[in-house]
Amino acid sequence: MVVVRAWGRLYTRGLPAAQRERRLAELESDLHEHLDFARSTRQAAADTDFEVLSRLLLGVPADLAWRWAINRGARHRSLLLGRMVNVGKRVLLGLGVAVSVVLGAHFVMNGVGILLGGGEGGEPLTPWGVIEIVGGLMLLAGPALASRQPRVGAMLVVVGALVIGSTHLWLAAVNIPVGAALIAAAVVRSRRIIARRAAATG
Amino acid sequence: MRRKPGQLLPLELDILDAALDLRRRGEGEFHGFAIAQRIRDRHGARQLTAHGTLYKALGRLEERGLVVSRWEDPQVALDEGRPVRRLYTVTGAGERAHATGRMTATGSRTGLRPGTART
Repeated sequence: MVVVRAWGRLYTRGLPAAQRERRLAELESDLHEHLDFARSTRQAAADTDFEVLSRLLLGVPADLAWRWAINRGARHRSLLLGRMVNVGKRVLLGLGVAVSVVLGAHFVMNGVGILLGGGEGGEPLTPWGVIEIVGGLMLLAGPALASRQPRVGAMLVVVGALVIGSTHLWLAAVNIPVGAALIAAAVVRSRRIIARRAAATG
Repeated sequence: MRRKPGQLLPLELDILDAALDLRRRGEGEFHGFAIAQRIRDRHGARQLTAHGTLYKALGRLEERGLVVSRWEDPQVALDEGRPVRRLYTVTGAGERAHATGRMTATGSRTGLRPGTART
Protein backbone atom coordinates (compact mmCIF):
# COMPACT_ATOMS: atom_id res chain seq x y z
CA MET A 1 0.00 0.00 0.00
CA VAL A 2 2.89 2.28 0.79
CA VAL A 3 4.29 1.56 -2.67
CA VAL A 4 1.01 2.57 -4.35
CA ARG A 5 0.90 5.85 -2.43
CA ALA A 6 4.58 6.56 -3.10
CA TRP A 7 4.19 5.82 -6.81
CA GLY A 8 1.07 8.01 -6.94
CA ARG A 9 2.91 10.91 -5.34
CA LEU A 10 5.86 10.40 -7.70
CA TYR A 11 4.04 10.35 -11.04
CA THR A 12 1.69 13.20 -10.10
CA ARG A 13 4.54 15.42 -8.87
CA GLY A 14 4.59 18.80 -10.58
CA LEU A 15 1.10 18.42 -12.11
CA PRO A 16 -1.61 21.05 -11.56
CA ALA A 17 -2.88 20.76 -7.97
CA ALA A 18 -6.47 19.91 -8.94
CA GLN A 19 -5.46 16.97 -11.12
CA ARG A 20 -2.84 15.73 -8.66
CA GLU A 21 -5.18 15.87 -5.67
CA ARG A 22 -7.99 14.21 -7.56
CA ARG A 23 -5.84 11.30 -8.72
CA LEU A 24 -4.27 10.79 -5.27
CA ALA A 25 -7.68 10.93 -3.57
CA GLU A 26 -9.12 8.41 -6.04
CA LEU A 27 -6.18 6.08 -5.45
CA GLU A 28 -6.58 6.42 -1.69
CA SER A 29 -10.28 5.62 -1.93
CA ASP A 30 -9.62 2.68 -4.29
CA LEU A 31 -6.99 1.25 -1.94
CA HIS A 32 -9.30 1.56 1.02
CA GLU A 33 -12.19 -0.13 -0.81
CA HIS A 34 -9.88 -2.89 -2.03
CA LEU A 35 -8.54 -3.64 1.46
CA ASP A 36 -12.02 -3.39 2.94
CA PHE A 37 -13.33 -5.88 0.39
CA ALA A 38 -10.36 -8.20 1.01
CA ARG A 39 -11.03 -8.13 4.74
CA SER A 40 -14.75 -8.79 4.26
CA THR A 41 -14.00 -11.84 2.09
CA ARG A 42 -11.20 -12.96 4.44
CA GLN A 43 -8.69 -12.96 1.64
CA ALA A 44 -5.14 -13.81 2.69
CA ALA A 45 -3.03 -10.68 3.23
CA ALA A 46 -0.35 -11.95 0.83
CA ASP A 47 -2.94 -12.41 -1.94
CA THR A 48 -4.29 -8.91 -1.37
CA ASP A 49 -0.78 -7.43 -1.44
CA PHE A 50 -0.08 -9.30 -4.67
CA GLU A 51 -3.33 -8.02 -6.21
CA VAL A 52 -2.68 -4.42 -5.23
CA LEU A 53 0.91 -4.55 -6.43
CA SER A 54 -0.03 -6.10 -9.76
CA ARG A 55 -2.73 -3.45 -10.24
CA LEU A 56 -0.08 -0.84 -9.65
CA LEU A 57 2.50 -2.38 -12.00
CA LEU A 58 0.07 -3.10 -14.84
CA GLY A 59 -1.17 0.50 -14.63
CA VAL A 60 2.26 2.15 -14.79
CA PRO A 61 2.23 2.71 -18.59
CA ALA A 62 -1.25 4.27 -18.32
CA ASP A 63 -0.13 6.44 -15.40
CA LEU A 64 2.82 7.74 -17.39
CA ALA A 65 0.70 8.28 -20.51
CA TRP A 66 -1.86 10.18 -18.42
CA ARG A 67 0.85 12.39 -16.96
CA TRP A 68 2.35 13.00 -20.39
CA ALA A 69 -1.06 13.95 -21.82
CA ILE A 70 -1.64 16.47 -19.02
CA ASN A 71 1.79 18.03 -19.53
CA ARG A 72 1.23 18.20 -23.26
CA GLY A 73 -2.15 19.90 -22.67
CA ALA A 74 -0.53 22.45 -20.34
CA ARG A 75 2.21 23.19 -22.89
CA HIS A 76 -0.41 23.59 -25.62
CA ARG A 77 -2.38 26.03 -23.44
CA SER A 78 0.71 28.09 -22.64
CA LEU A 79 1.66 28.19 -26.33
CA LEU A 80 -1.85 29.32 -27.18
CA LEU A 81 -1.68 32.05 -24.53
CA GLY A 82 1.72 33.11 -25.86
CA ARG A 83 0.31 33.32 -29.37
CA MET A 84 -2.64 35.40 -28.16
CA VAL A 85 -0.28 37.82 -26.37
CA ASN A 86 1.85 38.04 -29.52
CA VAL A 87 -1.23 38.73 -31.62
CA GLY A 88 -2.21 41.50 -29.16
CA LYS A 89 1.27 43.04 -29.39
CA ARG A 90 1.22 42.88 -33.17
CA VAL A 91 -2.21 44.52 -33.34
CA LEU A 92 -1.04 47.36 -31.07
CA LEU A 93 2.19 47.78 -33.02
CA GLY A 94 0.26 47.70 -36.29
CA LEU A 95 -2.08 50.41 -35.04
CA GLY A 96 0.87 52.55 -33.96
CA VAL A 97 2.54 52.16 -37.35
CA ALA A 98 -0.74 52.89 -39.17
CA VAL A 99 -1.31 56.08 -37.17
CA SER A 100 2.29 57.12 -37.81
CA VAL A 101 2.06 56.49 -41.57
CA VAL A 102 -1.31 58.23 -41.95
CA LEU A 103 -0.14 61.29 -40.01
CA GLY A 104 3.20 61.30 -41.85
CA ALA A 105 1.53 61.20 -45.27
CA HIS A 106 -0.95 63.86 -44.21
CA PHE A 107 1.78 66.27 -43.05
CA VAL A 108 4.01 65.71 -46.06
CA MET A 109 1.09 66.57 -48.37
CA ASN A 110 0.06 69.47 -46.16
CA GLY A 111 3.65 70.81 -46.13
CA VAL A 112 3.92 70.56 -49.90
CA GLY A 113 0.59 72.38 -50.17
CA ILE A 114 1.83 75.15 -47.90
CA LEU A 115 5.05 75.54 -49.89
CA LEU A 116 3.19 75.71 -53.17
CA GLY A 117 0.18 77.75 -52.21
CA GLY A 118 1.02 79.57 -48.99
CA GLY A 119 -1.42 79.98 -46.12
CA GLU A 120 -5.14 80.43 -46.29
CA GLY A 121 -4.73 84.12 -47.03
CA GLY A 122 -1.91 83.48 -49.52
CA GLU A 123 0.83 84.74 -47.12
CA PRO A 124 4.20 82.88 -47.31
CA LEU A 125 4.47 80.11 -44.71
CA THR A 126 7.64 78.41 -45.97
CA PRO A 127 9.14 77.53 -42.56
CA TRP A 128 5.91 75.82 -41.46
CA GLY A 129 5.70 73.92 -44.71
CA VAL A 130 9.28 72.68 -44.35
CA ILE A 131 8.68 71.67 -40.73
CA GLU A 132 5.61 69.67 -41.72
CA ILE A 133 7.38 67.93 -44.61
CA VAL A 134 10.41 67.04 -42.47
CA GLY A 135 8.25 65.84 -39.57
CA GLY A 136 5.97 63.90 -41.94
CA LEU A 137 8.93 62.21 -43.66
CA MET A 138 10.27 61.17 -40.27
CA LEU A 139 6.91 59.64 -39.37
CA LEU A 140 6.94 57.72 -42.66
CA ALA A 141 10.59 56.65 -42.48
CA GLY A 142 10.43 55.46 -38.85
CA PRO A 143 8.11 52.46 -39.42
CA ALA A 144 9.94 51.61 -42.67
CA LEU A 145 13.23 51.36 -40.76
CA ALA A 146 11.77 49.73 -37.66
CA SER A 147 12.12 46.14 -38.85
CA ARG A 148 15.89 46.43 -39.46
CA GLN A 149 16.84 49.11 -36.94
CA PRO A 150 14.10 49.31 -34.34
CA ARG A 151 15.74 51.97 -32.17
CA VAL A 152 16.51 54.30 -35.09
CA GLY A 153 12.99 53.78 -36.46
CA ALA A 154 11.37 54.58 -33.13
CA MET A 155 13.56 57.64 -32.64
CA LEU A 156 12.59 58.95 -36.06
CA VAL A 157 8.90 58.56 -35.25
CA VAL A 158 9.32 60.30 -31.90
CA VAL A 159 11.40 63.16 -33.28
CA GLY A 160 9.00 63.53 -36.21
CA ALA A 161 6.07 63.58 -33.80
CA LEU A 162 7.79 66.24 -31.68
CA VAL A 163 8.59 68.36 -34.73
CA ILE A 164 4.99 68.28 -35.88
CA GLY A 165 3.74 68.60 -32.30
CA SER A 166 5.64 71.90 -32.05
CA THR A 167 3.45 73.30 -34.83
CA HIS A 168 0.22 71.48 -33.90
CA LEU A 169 -0.02 71.28 -30.12
CA TRP A 170 -3.36 69.44 -30.31
CA LEU A 171 -1.55 66.51 -31.92
CA ALA A 172 0.44 65.90 -28.74
CA ALA A 173 -2.48 63.80 -27.45
CA VAL A 174 -1.90 61.38 -30.35
CA ASN A 175 1.86 61.76 -30.80
CA ILE A 176 2.95 61.13 -27.24
CA PRO A 177 1.14 57.79 -26.67
CA VAL A 178 2.00 56.52 -30.15
CA GLY A 179 5.62 57.55 -29.71
CA ALA A 180 5.82 55.95 -26.25
CA ALA A 181 4.33 52.68 -27.55
CA LEU A 182 6.77 52.60 -30.45
CA ILE A 183 9.74 53.27 -28.14
CA ALA A 184 8.64 50.46 -25.83
CA ALA A 185 8.21 48.09 -28.78
CA ALA A 186 11.60 49.10 -30.17
CA VAL A 187 13.36 48.52 -26.84
CA VAL A 188 11.78 45.08 -26.41
CA ARG A 189 12.54 44.12 -29.97
CA SER A 190 16.15 45.29 -29.91
CA ARG A 191 16.76 43.39 -26.65
CA ARG A 192 15.44 40.24 -28.28
CA ILE A 193 17.64 40.78 -31.34
CA ILE A 194 20.69 41.34 -29.11
CA ALA A 195 19.88 38.22 -27.06
CA ARG A 196 19.39 36.16 -30.22
CA ARG A 197 22.71 37.35 -31.65
CA ALA A 198 24.46 36.61 -28.37
CA ALA A 199 22.98 33.11 -28.33
CA ALA A 200 24.00 32.54 -31.94
CA THR A 201 27.57 33.65 -31.37
CA GLY A 202 27.73 31.80 -28.32
CA MET B 1 -4.33 1.90 -29.40
CA ARG B 2 -5.56 4.06 -32.31
CA ARG B 3 -9.30 4.41 -32.73
CA LYS B 4 -11.80 6.04 -35.02
CA PRO B 5 -13.43 9.23 -33.71
CA GLY B 6 -16.35 8.36 -31.43
CA GLN B 7 -15.34 4.72 -31.15
CA LEU B 8 -15.08 3.22 -27.67
CA LEU B 9 -12.10 1.16 -26.55
CA PRO B 10 -12.94 -2.28 -25.13
CA LEU B 11 -12.22 -1.13 -21.55
CA GLU B 12 -14.42 1.94 -21.99
CA LEU B 13 -17.20 -0.27 -23.27
CA ASP B 14 -16.67 -2.60 -20.30
CA ILE B 15 -16.88 0.34 -17.89
CA LEU B 16 -20.15 1.54 -19.42
CA ASP B 17 -21.48 -2.04 -19.46
CA ALA B 18 -20.68 -2.50 -15.80
CA ALA B 19 -21.97 0.94 -14.83
CA LEU B 20 -25.31 0.39 -16.58
CA ASP B 21 -25.49 -3.02 -14.97
CA LEU B 22 -24.99 -1.39 -11.55
CA ARG B 23 -27.67 1.15 -12.40
CA ARG B 24 -30.14 -1.63 -13.17
CA ARG B 25 -29.36 -2.96 -9.69
CA GLY B 26 -30.25 0.42 -8.18
CA GLU B 27 -26.75 1.94 -7.98
CA GLY B 28 -26.95 5.01 -10.21
CA GLU B 29 -23.55 6.27 -9.08
CA PHE B 30 -20.40 4.21 -8.89
CA HIS B 31 -16.82 4.66 -7.72
CA GLY B 32 -13.63 3.34 -9.26
CA PHE B 33 -13.15 0.19 -7.22
CA ALA B 34 -16.83 -0.80 -7.58
CA ILE B 35 -16.56 -0.66 -11.35
CA ALA B 36 -13.29 -2.61 -11.34
CA GLN B 37 -14.97 -5.31 -9.28
CA ARG B 38 -18.04 -5.40 -11.52
CA ILE B 39 -15.88 -5.73 -14.64
CA ARG B 40 -13.95 -8.60 -13.03
CA ASP B 41 -17.16 -10.36 -12.03
CA ARG B 42 -18.72 -9.97 -15.47
CA HIS B 43 -15.65 -11.37 -17.20
CA GLY B 44 -14.99 -14.01 -14.59
CA ALA B 45 -11.42 -12.73 -14.48
CA ARG B 46 -9.02 -13.12 -11.59
CA GLN B 47 -7.39 -9.72 -11.92
CA LEU B 48 -8.94 -6.32 -11.21
CA THR B 49 -8.35 -3.55 -13.75
CA ALA B 50 -5.09 -1.73 -12.98
CA HIS B 51 -5.35 1.60 -11.19
CA GLY B 52 -3.74 3.66 -13.94
CA THR B 53 -5.71 2.00 -16.74
CA LEU B 54 -9.02 2.35 -14.92
CA TYR B 55 -8.76 6.00 -13.88
CA LYS B 56 -7.31 7.06 -17.20
CA ALA B 57 -10.24 5.41 -19.00
CA LEU B 58 -12.74 7.04 -16.62
CA GLY B 59 -11.07 10.40 -17.31
CA ARG B 60 -11.41 9.85 -21.07
CA LEU B 61 -15.08 8.96 -20.72
CA GLU B 62 -15.64 12.08 -18.64
CA GLU B 63 -13.83 14.28 -21.17
CA ARG B 64 -16.14 12.93 -23.86
CA GLY B 65 -19.21 13.62 -21.72
CA LEU B 66 -20.13 9.95 -21.47
CA VAL B 67 -19.91 10.01 -17.68
CA VAL B 68 -19.99 12.83 -15.14
CA SER B 69 -18.43 12.75 -11.71
CA ARG B 70 -18.52 14.48 -8.34
CA TRP B 71 -16.98 14.10 -4.93
CA GLU B 72 -19.39 12.56 -2.46
CA ASP B 73 -20.42 14.50 0.63
CA PRO B 74 -17.32 14.41 2.91
CA GLN B 75 -19.61 13.96 5.92
CA VAL B 76 -20.83 10.63 4.56
CA ALA B 77 -17.25 9.41 4.19
CA LEU B 78 -16.40 10.70 7.64
CA ASP B 79 -19.40 8.91 9.17
CA GLU B 80 -18.38 5.66 7.50
CA GLY B 81 -14.71 6.13 8.45
CA ARG B 82 -13.25 5.95 4.94
CA PRO B 83 -11.72 8.27 2.32
CA VAL B 84 -14.12 10.32 0.24
CA ARG B 85 -15.21 8.64 -3.02
CA ARG B 86 -15.32 10.10 -6.49
CA LEU B 87 -18.77 9.13 -7.78
CA TYR B 88 -19.45 8.64 -11.49
CA THR B 89 -22.75 8.56 -13.38
CA VAL B 90 -23.35 7.48 -16.97
CA THR B 91 -24.94 10.29 -19.01
CA GLY B 92 -27.49 10.01 -21.81
CA ALA B 93 -24.65 10.39 -24.31
CA GLY B 94 -22.88 7.57 -22.49
CA GLU B 95 -25.90 5.31 -22.85
CA ARG B 96 -26.15 6.05 -26.57
CA ALA B 97 -22.41 5.51 -27.07
CA HIS B 98 -22.69 2.25 -25.18
CA ALA B 99 -25.57 1.05 -27.36
CA THR B 100 -23.69 1.96 -30.53
CA GLY B 101 -20.48 0.42 -29.20
CA ARG B 102 -22.22 -2.82 -28.29
CA MET B 103 -23.86 -3.00 -31.70
CA THR B 104 -20.49 -2.45 -33.39
CA ALA B 105 -18.82 -5.06 -31.19
CA THR B 106 -21.58 -7.57 -31.90
CA GLY B 107 -21.47 -6.72 -35.61
CA SER B 108 -17.72 -7.23 -35.81
CA ARG B 109 -18.01 -10.58 -34.03
CA THR B 110 -20.71 -11.78 -36.42
CA GLY B 111 -19.18 -10.16 -39.48
CA LEU B 112 -21.98 -7.61 -39.78
CA ARG B 113 -21.72 -3.84 -39.79
CA PRO B 114 -24.12 -1.81 -37.65
CA GLY B 115 -27.32 -1.13 -39.56
CA THR B 116 -26.85 -4.02 -41.98
CA ALA B 117 -28.81 -7.22 -42.06
CA ARG B 118 -27.81 -10.70 -43.03
CA THR B 119 -29.61 -11.75 -46.20
